[in-house]
Amino acid sequence: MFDSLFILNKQRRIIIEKHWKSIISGSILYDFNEKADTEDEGNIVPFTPLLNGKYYAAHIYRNGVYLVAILKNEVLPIMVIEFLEHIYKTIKSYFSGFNENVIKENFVTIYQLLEEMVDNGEPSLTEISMLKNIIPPPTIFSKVMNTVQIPKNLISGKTPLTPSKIPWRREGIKYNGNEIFIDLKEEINIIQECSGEDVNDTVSRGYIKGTLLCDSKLSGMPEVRLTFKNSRVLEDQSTSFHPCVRYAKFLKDRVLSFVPPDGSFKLMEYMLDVSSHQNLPVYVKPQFYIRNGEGKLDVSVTVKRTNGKDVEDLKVNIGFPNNIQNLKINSITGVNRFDQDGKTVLWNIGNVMSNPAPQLFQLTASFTNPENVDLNEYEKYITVNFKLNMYTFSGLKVDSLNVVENYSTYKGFRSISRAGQYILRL
Amino acid sequence: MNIGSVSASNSNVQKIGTVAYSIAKEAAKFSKKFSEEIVEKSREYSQSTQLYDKYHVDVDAIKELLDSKYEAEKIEGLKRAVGFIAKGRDCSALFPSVVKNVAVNSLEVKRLVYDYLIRYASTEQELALLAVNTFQKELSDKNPEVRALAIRVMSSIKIPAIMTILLQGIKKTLKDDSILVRQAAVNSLIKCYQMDPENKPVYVELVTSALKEGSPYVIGNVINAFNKICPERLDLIHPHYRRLCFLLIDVDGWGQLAILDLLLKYGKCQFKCPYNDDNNKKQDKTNDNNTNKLDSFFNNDNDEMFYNSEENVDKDLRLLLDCCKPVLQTYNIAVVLKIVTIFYYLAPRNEFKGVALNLLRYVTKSYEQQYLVLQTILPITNKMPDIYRPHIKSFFINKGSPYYIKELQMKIIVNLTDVHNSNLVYNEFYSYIRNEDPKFVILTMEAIATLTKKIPVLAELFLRLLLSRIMSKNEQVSAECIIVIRKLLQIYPEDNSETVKYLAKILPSITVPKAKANLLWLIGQYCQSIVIIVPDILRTFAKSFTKEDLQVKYQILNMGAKLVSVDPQPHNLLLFEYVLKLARYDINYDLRDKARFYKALILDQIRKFIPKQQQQQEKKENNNNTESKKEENKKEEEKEENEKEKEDDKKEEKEEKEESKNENEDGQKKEDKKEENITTTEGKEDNEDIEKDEISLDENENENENDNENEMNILNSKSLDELLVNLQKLLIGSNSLTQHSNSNIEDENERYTLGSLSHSVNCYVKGYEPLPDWPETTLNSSARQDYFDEHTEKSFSSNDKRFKNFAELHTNPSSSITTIKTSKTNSTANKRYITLDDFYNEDDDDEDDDSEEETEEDSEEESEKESEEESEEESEDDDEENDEDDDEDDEEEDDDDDDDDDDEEEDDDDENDEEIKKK
Repeated sequence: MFDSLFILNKQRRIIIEKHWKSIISGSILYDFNEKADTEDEGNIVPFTPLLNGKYYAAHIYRNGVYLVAILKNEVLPIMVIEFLEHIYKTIKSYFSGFNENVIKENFVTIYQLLEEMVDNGEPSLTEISMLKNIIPPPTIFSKVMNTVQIPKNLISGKTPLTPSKIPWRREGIKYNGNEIFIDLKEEINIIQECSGEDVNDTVSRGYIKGTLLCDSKLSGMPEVRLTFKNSRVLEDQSTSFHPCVRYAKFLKDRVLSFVPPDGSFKLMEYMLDVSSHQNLPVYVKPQFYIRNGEGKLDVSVTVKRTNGKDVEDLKVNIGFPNNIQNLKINSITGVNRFDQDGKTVLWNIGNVMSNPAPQLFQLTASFTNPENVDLNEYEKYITVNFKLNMYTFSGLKVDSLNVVENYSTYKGFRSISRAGQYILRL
Repeated sequence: MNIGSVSASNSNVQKIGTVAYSIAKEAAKFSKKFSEEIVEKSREYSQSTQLYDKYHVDVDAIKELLDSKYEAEKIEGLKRAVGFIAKGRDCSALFPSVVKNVAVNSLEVKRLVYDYLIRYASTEQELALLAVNTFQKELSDKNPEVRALAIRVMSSIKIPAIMTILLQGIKKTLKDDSILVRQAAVNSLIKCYQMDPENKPVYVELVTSALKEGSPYVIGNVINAFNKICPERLDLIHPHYRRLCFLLIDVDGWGQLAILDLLLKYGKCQFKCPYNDDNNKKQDKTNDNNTNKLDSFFNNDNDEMFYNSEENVDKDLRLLLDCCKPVLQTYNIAVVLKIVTIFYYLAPRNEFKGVALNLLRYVTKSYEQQYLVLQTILPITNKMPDIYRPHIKSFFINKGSPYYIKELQMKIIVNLTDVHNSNLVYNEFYSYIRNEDPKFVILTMEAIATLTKKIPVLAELFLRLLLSRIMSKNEQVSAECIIVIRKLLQIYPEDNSETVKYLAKILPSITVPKAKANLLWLIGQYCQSIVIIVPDILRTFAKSFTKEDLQVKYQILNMGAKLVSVDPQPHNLLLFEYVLKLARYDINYDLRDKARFYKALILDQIRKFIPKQQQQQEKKENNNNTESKKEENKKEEEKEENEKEKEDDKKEEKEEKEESKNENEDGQKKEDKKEENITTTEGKEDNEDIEKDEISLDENENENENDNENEMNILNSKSLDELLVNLQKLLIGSNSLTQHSNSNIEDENERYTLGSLSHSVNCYVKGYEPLPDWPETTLNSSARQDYFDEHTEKSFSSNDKRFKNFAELHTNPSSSITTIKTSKTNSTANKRYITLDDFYNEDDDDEDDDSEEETEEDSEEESEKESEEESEEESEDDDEENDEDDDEDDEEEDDDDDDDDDDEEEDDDDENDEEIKKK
């Protein structure tokens, strides 16, 4: 698939290099650097021809670190990107973070990981849970044990695990207390148009991004079955699963049946369209008046009925055009702060109890428009942030969770819903 | 008693005390040692970043560590060595010390040693041979991990001398029991082949035998090896084709990609094309034509095509498509994208839609992934915009995205817009165009231009939007705005004099040459309707002529020529002549040529008909000019400018006088006449497709390529009016845009296979192979063997199957084919709505009919599935099914209805029991 991999820092200096087929000097990245110099960090097209198209550099940019793969021959580009993404995820999960320092601290381990993950430029052993068995992630504990020179398996009481018939789980895993936790996270992304020719209050477009995270600490080879309430929201085209899930069974009965990998992993992912009348727990209505060099903005935020769940961290961010002045803000509840440079107002309402519902909050901002420019010509926006525990926008819930094994299992479930990008364009 | 007991207890206490003391002492010692070590370790830990910053390769220190008898020190030394490799430094000097450690039993040490060896063995071949013995021994180690590691390293060190040993090792490990080892062995095969490609037949043979692989976790690697070693030997695939399709769902992501890659190629060159290309084109046409949309929907032709396409699908191709569908549920974006391309090339169009929509869920992933997903979506929207049209909102642009994403999304939006959703798009553009990022605004404006070309009805709407942005502070934005406005006005030639007047007003504030040039062209083009202001514009630009950019100069000339041909009043002629003279002494030869050309063609011709009296006046002017010309010739160009400016002023005065004179006398009459002429000749003008002005804007070089006929007309014209008409024909010409045919763009997109790197970077990448063409008919259908004929229990132990998706899909291929056949014959309507669920259900039914030959294990799985189905959809139940079910299954069914948990546990127990039995 690829010939070499370079990990670069923000200044595009090489931190780690790994070659599979032949040793390629780091100077090959000249063209890439050239291009990167003229663009912003995130704006470089993922594929850059090097040496007049003799090679290609495919890269992803995460947290101030570039992962650059050197390609020589025709490949599936998406596969390269997907694999780089996988490397990123692996490093992140290994060292619980991904940035230049983390990589420098663990560069030997990362080199070893790359050696295991890629064989002759082809993906080899990529399952994170399997990799962790071969190359244990560093912990303070293991470092201490190293110094005292006590063999690891003696301390942890773990016998070396044998590879099993399925690639994502080894045989012989043993826990004293068996437990499995399910986290359902939903993020709603909405852009609402409050300007233009026809002003309507409905959502102009948006989607809900849901992930089902699972943390399993189970012995043996357990089979887990998970059923949902309201599972009809999950359409076939919008859901994807961890390889351990039997897709065919889900397509048929809407039951997630799987043998979980050890540790935490992402079990399912789904994306739902937001209907134009999506029932949102928080509803924002701005009103904007401009008259002869003066203007006023009223923002009213309504917290609706949320099945008894509190809305947490409710924040409203208002961006004004650059040419307004003398901004005065007035709000009864919450704290507001005005940032003069960016012309933004951060209005922090905080936590809102579910009782009594609905509740209404208001903010009034008045300002002058000395140059008397047409403010309709400038961009104005409001972004909203909030969080709800044990609540889902889509209404999806875990109905039952069964572990088919001879031991009793502690099962935990929770769900968090957040507003990701909730933008109102004025 | 008491005393004794006390003393006894006393002594006990003492004893305990001493023991406790010693324990405490020990503990204190231990804790001291421990805490010291922790401190030391933490110091080391904090130093580990410094390990990275170490520049100097301290060979001696590392050697010492490597030769140490303690494992921990060895590891430390090896880690440092590997660290230097990771940083790209040379530490080959350590080779002898490292090789010594190859025989250490610890896996951790082994891995580090191997990491080092792989990097340096090819340069230190002699020394590396020392390690080969160890590898060979390890190939028969009882730990599969060690075996896998050994074969992997042996093939990675790339020493030609051990080729024969290596091949033997591969042959041995290819038959290993562990999937880990087999995977490694297959991968080694590729490496060996790349090392010595001369021995290809040997490797092909090995691959052929490896193709019989039954485990889904190895087959991916095998196919990858096949793709690398002998991709042209598709004949080897025939017997395995169906098995590959079935195994697909259980293969890991990377393996799936290799298999899908192969199957795409295989499918394209083995099966008859499932859709009719001619029909397709027809459909595309009707889709493009929005007014006919309703007709086309009810059109019988389309329906016919629908059925035809269904008939055309070969049963084996059908199998491939159906096996791909459930795999769409995977995490791996690459796999989903690959399946979409498979459906794009191989599937009947009606089936493609549902699959293509799967891409939508990746439109919000990381930007790099989005980029490739959008790149695949774009050509699809070119060809079949209807698929994504209802989801156009998904492509609306987020202002935070990088530019390369915005660009693609914008193109897709333009492709997807039609009359019905134009309002939505207008609102969206309305907000884009107010964005602060000039690049993005320009992008939006360009999109508006292409969009209005596609749907001319929108031109007026967008024109208003653009006019509001023309005074933007950013020069590039306002320039682009004018360019787009010009394009829009070209689409809508009627009654734009107000707009043009407005634009003329803001002309002086524009500084970007390109925008100026465009605007001047526009004014020239419309000078008939705004003839009053054009001379003044020309005057101001004549003044600053020498300072203007080349393209602006061209357009000044152009505008002058147009003005003169529309309104040949003496002052206009003078002005034009002046401009021509300036141009004749320009530094650019093409401009000079053009000036001469205009002079001969236009000015001199018009002069023929202008009354003498005026000419005399002009002569004076000419004298002035000729004088100045002489001066100019002597002086350098920079100085000329000053002179000219002075002249300008003089001239202006005269002009103004003239204006007042002439306007009363001739002006109006002539104008009236002209306008009549224009109206009469307009029809002709339209017919004659003169794109000269359009060309002149884009490529100045082509200026002089004129329509000879027109020139002749001009030269032969007998009256002023006739001359003017002819001139106008030539200069202003028809207003039609040069339409770039869309087919070109599509072809460009289709030049490379979707999803390939070549497609992504839009140029040929080494190793790219285009997809083969469809054959006339399906080939080799008899060569494709049924999977279960050769299915052996060994490769698929029952325990194995428990974890597989495959178990869910488990079908007998022949039966699946018959279901398709029967459904075909049964009713066409039914066939049309075959869903995936139905498909599997039907398979299940059939399978039960032939279930005798299957293992108990299978039937159990099946029955479990069935029972669940039955509880859901009882209508599906057949009597036959119940009859054929085992007793055991019946029991289970009852339980199943009562309690799920019990059932599952029982299932599990049953399975265990059976395993035991087998043993």
